[in-house]
Amino acid sequence: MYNTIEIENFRGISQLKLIDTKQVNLIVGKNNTGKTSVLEAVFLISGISNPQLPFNINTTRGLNFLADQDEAFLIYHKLNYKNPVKIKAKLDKQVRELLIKPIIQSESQASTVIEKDLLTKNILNTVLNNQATDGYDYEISITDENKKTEKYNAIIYPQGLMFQQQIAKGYRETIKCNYVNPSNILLQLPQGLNEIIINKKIDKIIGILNKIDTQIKSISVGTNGLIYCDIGLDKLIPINVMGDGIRRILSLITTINLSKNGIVIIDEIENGFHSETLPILWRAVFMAAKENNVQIFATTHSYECIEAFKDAYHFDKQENDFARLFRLEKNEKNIFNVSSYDQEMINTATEMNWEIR
Amino acid sequence: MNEKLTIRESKILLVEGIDDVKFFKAILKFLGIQNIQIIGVEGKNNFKNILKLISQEIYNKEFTVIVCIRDADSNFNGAFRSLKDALMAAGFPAPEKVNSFKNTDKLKTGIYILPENNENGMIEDLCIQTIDKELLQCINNYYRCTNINPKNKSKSTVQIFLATQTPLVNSLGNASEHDIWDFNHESFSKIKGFLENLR
Repeated sequence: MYNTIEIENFRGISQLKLIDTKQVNLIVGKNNTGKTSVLEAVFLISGISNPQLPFNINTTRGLNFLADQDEAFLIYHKLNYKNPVKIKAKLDKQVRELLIKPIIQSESQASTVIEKDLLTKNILNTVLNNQATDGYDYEISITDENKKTEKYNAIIYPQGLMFQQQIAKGYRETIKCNYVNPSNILLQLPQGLNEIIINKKIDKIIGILNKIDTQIKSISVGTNGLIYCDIGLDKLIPINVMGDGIRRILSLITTINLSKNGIVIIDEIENGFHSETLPILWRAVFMAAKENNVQIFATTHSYECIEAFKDAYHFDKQENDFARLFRLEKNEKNIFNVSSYDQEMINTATEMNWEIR
Repeated sequence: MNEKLTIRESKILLVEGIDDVKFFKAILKFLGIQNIQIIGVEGKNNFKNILKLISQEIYNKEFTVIVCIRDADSNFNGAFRSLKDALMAAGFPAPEKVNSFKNTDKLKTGIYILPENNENGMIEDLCIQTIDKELLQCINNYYRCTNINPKNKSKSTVQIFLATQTPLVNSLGNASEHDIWDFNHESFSKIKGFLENLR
């Protein structure tokens, strides 16, 4: 479980620190305060040896590297690749540190083949196209509980239509981390659900779903990849015709169940849920996180979602300090602030109608 | 949904409840002290959490004065200690002595325990001291005549007193809004002296 996460020069974030993170962490803040970037940083540090991940997170933001190779730039603060991305995280028994530097093929290769067009262009400027950073150079450092530090390297860069990748030799990842956002939440559901059914855990999940819809008696996955529900009719019906909330909650709980002892990151957790369903969603998340020892990092900008988070926390009488709410802010000078709220503070804030979003 | 509570001023006065908010609003107005945000914490145990919430606003707001005022109830020293602990738990400096301030470079924090003079009791006791002696005697006689010994005699006495006033109001706070308490009275001089530090 992560206790502290420090981020430097990553996307819009110049410098930011989440201190004293707990089992369930809800990150709030206005638009453009770096909520999603914090989640992405947690994702990158969780897959510290995998240099493909910056490309993956750009893709979830709707960017297509293959269409525009300059997009490799976008992970650097103010697009300044000279300041490497730095992410440092303290876990219970480990400190991990990741530096991401660019690989600039046109700078590193003294001699390259150029196209004839470049010499016959009718636009006159002196700048060589020498800033195309199109790959990532990972410097990885892992310090164990005995303060012994191991260093690794990994790189990735495009070569023609393919990518060249050098993995971090000798490193084996121990953290299982899943990143869920509104666009991918339903994609892995059939496969994940199959695993749950095989592991005989489906009854528990049906119990949670029954809090939203009491008719659901069983769930199965068809060979066509569709998920079917038994709601007491003559035939099973595809879950697609039931509410979106049911599918989303099923998907979230499935993901958490499949991430035992790991990390689940959920961007815009409230997305697709009616405000009345949010308390059930949070109770399910708390329950699943506890049972599977999964650390959750989620974002929201909905006040109803924060209230539901508080109510669920209170309802299940979780041990104190099971969850934290972090509020991100950014001032005109681009300096970040992270406010941290424990259970008592969240309770008082909602009782007093105190603005903590 | 109601409007959210946000910090607007750099000078903050935390008091217990709505009656206290109205009382201190009126007395500060009487003193001509402006730009103080008075927040009723809605329960003595909430001082600590509200102070912690305020401490998370430092990024947005530079605070110059934070003052906490509560009733002594049955333990004057305990009331002071609890406010001192609350300030410190939120990371603020705290005064060493009751009814005093702690000055640091940018921030001044203060604690005042009502009624005053190291006595147990509550804000009602302070207001009762300003009631005309003869009228107060009559109120005490009323208890004797009716053979009633109210559970909270201070609150009952205030209610009986208010029943004799015009306009008719039903709480210490509302009375404050209608000039029923005489803020020129000698008994209010100590609290007024303390509040002068908020100017």
